Amino acid sequence: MTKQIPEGVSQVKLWDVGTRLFHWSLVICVCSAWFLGKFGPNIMTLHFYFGYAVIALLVFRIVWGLFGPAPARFSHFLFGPAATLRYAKTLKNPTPSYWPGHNPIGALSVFAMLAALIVQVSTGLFADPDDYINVGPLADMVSSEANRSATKLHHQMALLIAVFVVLHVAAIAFYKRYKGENLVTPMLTGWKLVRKDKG
Amino acid sequence: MRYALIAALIAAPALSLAGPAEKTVEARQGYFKLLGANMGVLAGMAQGKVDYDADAAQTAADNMVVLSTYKLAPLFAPGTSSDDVKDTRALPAIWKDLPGVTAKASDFGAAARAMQDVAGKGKGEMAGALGALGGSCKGCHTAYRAE
Ligand code: HEC
Ligand code: HEM
Ligand code: HEM
Repeated sequence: MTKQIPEGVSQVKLWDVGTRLFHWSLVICVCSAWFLGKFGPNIMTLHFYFGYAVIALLVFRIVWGLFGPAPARFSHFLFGPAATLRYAKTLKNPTPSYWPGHNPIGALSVFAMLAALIVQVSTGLFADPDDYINVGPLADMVSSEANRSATKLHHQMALLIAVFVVLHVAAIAFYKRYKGENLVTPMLTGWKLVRKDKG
Repeated sequence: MRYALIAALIAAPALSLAGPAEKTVEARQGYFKLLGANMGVLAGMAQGKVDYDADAAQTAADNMVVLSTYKLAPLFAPGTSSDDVKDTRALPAIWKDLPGVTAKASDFGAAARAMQDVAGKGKGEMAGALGALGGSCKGCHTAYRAE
């Protein structure tokens, strides 16, 4: 660190190893599932395996969000409209947020991405693309109309997830370029500069 | 009330189209349902949902080969895409790229013949050919069938 640490800001271990491993495993598995789904072989066995891995990761994240370390808990980054608006007004300041966790706007994208992924894996389980080989393992449990809707939703949500991820990465780049705050290194090492008076 | 009227006005031309195009779509979907029925027999055995039966597997595979020789052109008559008829998922892309569709259909034919060679020889052999056969269905659906 060549830069002087400002008053009231300190370096803390914010993200525990579980959350960090979760994040980067999720990146690998979601990207793999996505590209295998769109461009992979017609026999989608690998897509299914990465999809199951995403299910396992989401289960872990829900458990971690309820019982994990404080910064990873959902309650820690669940903000009301007032706090969210207040934070939104500071977005245009070209200065780091030093936020001790997911900030109120970032939190929205975290919840949106997790929700979209939950819908994605759920619809995958019930999808039946009429090829008798890539059939979701639970497809037999529901009607063929439901299979069809699930398949359709699985396709549409894949696009939405791509949009969310692009926005997500763009936001990270915005923090780095415009606000001068590196969020990636904390997600790798756990250490982040945060303001003491918050959280 | 006003909406009902508008709906009726929109529906009227669609209804007046009920005729040859819709019959073609019905027949086309019937053809693919037959493919599905025979695939269902093979997939059911491969997944162990029903016991493997060499004769039944061979019959299903033979049927697939027969179906693969069916001349598809009449089932894909012009004016029967998802732009023209309501209850079809056949994309207009089919009519813009007939060579591409033909290639997918011959992939299916080749996979069906490969299945015919092994379907009666044992569960493992049959299941081994199923991936390529199912893959040939997916290959065409992904490119030419709406969701
Ligand atoms: C050459 C392209 C092509 C191939 C190969 C193909 N399909 Fe299809 N399939 C279609 C199209 C196009 C439709 C949509 C038909 C419609 O809605 O009018 C369809 C629809 C279906 C349907 C739904 C029928 C319905 O009830 O509406 C099933 C089931 C199906 N295909 C099974 C299969 C199976 C099983 C295979 C492989 C063994 C297969 N298809 C191979 C193009 C193909
Ligand atoms: C498929 C791609 C991705 C998905 C699904 C994804 C998903 C997520 C999720 C769910 C979180 C919340 C973490 C948690 O609390 O559990 C998060 C945070 C984060 N992600 Fe990603 N991510 C993806 C790609 C990336 C990439 C490529 C980068 C690097 C540029 C990145 C950088 C970050 C950072 C820095 C955070 C922490 C943000 C903060 O400080 O609030 N992500 N991501
Ligand atoms: C985050 C996880 C996942 C992502 C990002 C994802 C993404 C995709 C994509 C992009 C496609 C191709 C859609 C298209 O052709 O436009 C696809 C197809 C498919 N996926 Fe997933 N998927 C995920 C998880 C799952 C899971 C868990 C299952 C089931 C266990 C599953 C089952 C399927 C099936 C059966 C298809 C074939 C649909 C078809 O060919 O029409 N997916 N997925």
